[in-house]
Amino acid sequence: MTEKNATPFAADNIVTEDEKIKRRRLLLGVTGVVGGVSVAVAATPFMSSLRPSKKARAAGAPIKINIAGLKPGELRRDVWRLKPVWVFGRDQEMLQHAKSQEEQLTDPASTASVQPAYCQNENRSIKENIFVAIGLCTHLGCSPGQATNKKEGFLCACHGSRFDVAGRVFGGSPAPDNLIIPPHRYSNDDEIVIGEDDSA
Amino acid sequence: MPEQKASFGDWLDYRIPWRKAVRKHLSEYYAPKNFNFWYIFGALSILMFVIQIVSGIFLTMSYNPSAEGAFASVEYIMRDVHYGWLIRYVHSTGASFFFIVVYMHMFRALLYGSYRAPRELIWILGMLIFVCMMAEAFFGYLLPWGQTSYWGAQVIVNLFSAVPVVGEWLSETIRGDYAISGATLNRFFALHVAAIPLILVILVFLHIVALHEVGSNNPDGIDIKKNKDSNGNPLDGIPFHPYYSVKDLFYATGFLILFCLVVFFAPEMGGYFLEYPNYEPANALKTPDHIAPVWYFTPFYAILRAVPPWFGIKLWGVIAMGLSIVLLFAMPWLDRGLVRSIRYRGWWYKSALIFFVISFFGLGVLGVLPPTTGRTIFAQLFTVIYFLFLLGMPFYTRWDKTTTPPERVH
Amino acid sequence: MQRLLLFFIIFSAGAVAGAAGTSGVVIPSAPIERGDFSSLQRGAATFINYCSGCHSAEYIRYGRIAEDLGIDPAVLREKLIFNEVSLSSGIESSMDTEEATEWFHQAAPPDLSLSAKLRGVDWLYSYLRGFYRQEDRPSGWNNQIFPNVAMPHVLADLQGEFAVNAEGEKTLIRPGRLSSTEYDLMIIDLVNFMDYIAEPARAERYRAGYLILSLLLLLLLCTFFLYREYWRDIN
Repeated sequence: MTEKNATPFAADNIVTEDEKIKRRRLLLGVTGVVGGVSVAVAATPFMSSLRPSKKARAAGAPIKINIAGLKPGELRRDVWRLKPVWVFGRDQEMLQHAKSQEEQLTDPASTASVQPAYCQNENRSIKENIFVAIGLCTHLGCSPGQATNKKEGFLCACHGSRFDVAGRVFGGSPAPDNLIIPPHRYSNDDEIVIGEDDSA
Repeated sequence: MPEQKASFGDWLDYRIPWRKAVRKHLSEYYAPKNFNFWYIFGALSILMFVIQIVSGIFLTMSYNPSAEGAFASVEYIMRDVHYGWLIRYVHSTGASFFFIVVYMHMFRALLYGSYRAPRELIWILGMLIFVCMMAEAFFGYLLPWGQTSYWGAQVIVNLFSAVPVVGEWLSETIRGDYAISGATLNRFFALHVAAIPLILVILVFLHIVALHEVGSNNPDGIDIKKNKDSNGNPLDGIPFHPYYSVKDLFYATGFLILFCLVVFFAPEMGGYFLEYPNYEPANALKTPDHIAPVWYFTPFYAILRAVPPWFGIKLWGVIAMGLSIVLLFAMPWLDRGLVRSIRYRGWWYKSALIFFVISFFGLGVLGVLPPTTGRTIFAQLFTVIYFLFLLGMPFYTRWDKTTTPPERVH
Repeated sequence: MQRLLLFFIIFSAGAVAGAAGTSGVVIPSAPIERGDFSSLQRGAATFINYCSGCHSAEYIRYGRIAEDLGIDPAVLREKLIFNEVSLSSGIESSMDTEEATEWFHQAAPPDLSLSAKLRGVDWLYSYLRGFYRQEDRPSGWNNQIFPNVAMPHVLADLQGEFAVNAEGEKTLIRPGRLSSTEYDLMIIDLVNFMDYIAEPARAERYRAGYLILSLLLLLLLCTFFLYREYWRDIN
């Protein structure tokens, strides 16, 4: 322990107690900041390991759905990012029927609902005869089924939420918003790509 | 006097005595002021334990404990989980570093007689921690389900079949199958992530409680509680906090630099921390050309191999290996020396310790290598020295010409 | 006493040294350049064209290769992937496992995702250059590095054919399409690619390592001054 006495700071007696406290506070502060940053940096990999893995993201790549010969009232289902994706055929009669019920809807103009900008319109779609949506109720995530009368839209069995043929929720349903519409585009007349659009 | 509003600390302290605990274990735990380099390894062991638990929990989230999925899930962690490679390398490197610091910690006890009265229980608890760590490492090594994992487990579990009469039954019960299989993997996983860590936490807690009851030994091996000031605090002691907490913080940072050098730049450590044959999935039909345990087991493994199968019974090796660990438990009673610290011991103990260290290292090296006649003779020689160090201890420590330690620490 | 000690130290060192020299074949180190994208891209092309016919590399996805090696996914699909697989799947062999086992009389061709870790790049480099003709082998081929290997010399058209005599001397008996230097360069690229697929995160590991180490060095400096400051009380 003799080497410590040889340091230039050995003249401790002339340093006042006050200065010592200040110096220690400064050193503790600096060490605390650097230590805090180190802990944050060390925690980052552990936190990011909880995010969907690269494999999950690769599996969540865009999918293609064949829509050749889709008839009005027909519902085609596929899976994108482990969620059901619906492609639903509509005709003018169904759309007229939906329009006639507009005053019963919670959010008829879809201002509070989630959809790409190109689907924030009356029919919530790019082409009015084809409706694309994530088939999960916005209440607690059950997958609704089709109403017996197909022009009435969809009914969620869990808590009775009702949606019209444009996925718009009826007032009085527990679901707060319209069905979510994923980004999508038409690669040709017979095929829809889910998970990517032309905006990118 | 103005009435002070009770703080949350007061509220809590009324219900659980946290302030008393902080005083007893940190701010008023008086440790000898002459701790040297060898005294950092206790704190570093705790650091490694925490690192292993945290990285282990995160690995468990992505690992699949089944014979079909284990190997692929490790690659999934290495490639697809964000920073999964880091978490896995921290855990695999951590296993080796944990053993390094624990071996240093144990060697410190041999140097300064830390195992001797009144610290026998601390030593025994520490030895139990060591045995649990070996079990933990062994169970964990099967989990990647590579070739080294599989055949290493096969060889070690088959040791139990050397036990007379019930051997075969015993090894089958451990495996849960006729050979290492998915059933073995699942139970090893349960033991590795739940049972053994739980026991380790309890043992570490008791180890520290026992230490703080009798107080730390020191490089002079003398009792600092004999010389107290007017407040009843040892004259040669200093509060653990802040003095040893800042010292340990500094050394821990230095240690982490070494640790990170390996994790980031040499995680396989030339095949000693992660063995190359383990990059091939377990195959029950093909044993790799050379199979050796991980380096921290090799001294004991070398003892196992060194003992010949007298009278055609392969049990002797297993007994010798078991004894090599069991005898360590008895050290507080084997040592009859008049002093604790090597500083005041005579040449008997000093040379015995040197021989012991040489044979421990020698056995460690020989355990990695495939056996040849020459190597087996060396392993046998080192095994004899290893046991002479322990079994001869009651005699040579008494013959030793010790010098009188000073009254106060240096 | 000290002499005895010296004796032991020398002998235990001897025991260690005796184990170091093992097999007789000298394996030169593979001169690969990690992170050289053009080498890795050429290696990827060689791997997918020649190796993936029989060998899978299931733990590396096409999409990941494109991303890591700076290849446009569309180009990768057009130029390299001939079958209708998704970019998010691993490299699959074009061969059925059971069929392959029968063909090669032994085990099916192993998955190559981790071969650079399992064998080492130096071994791969020598192995891929070590084939020679031996008519009495089932495949008609043998290898200097891996005696009695089941795999035939798939790249013989490029490297040419060699014969090895009893003394172990290698002679060219039929030249290939590539010169010896060109062939070696191709193998270097291939081995480089196999090294990459064995641990795609390696580059990231090194980058993160430098960051963490510099941070820890800074912390070491802070804790050192803190330690010295407090211990002034004691000394």
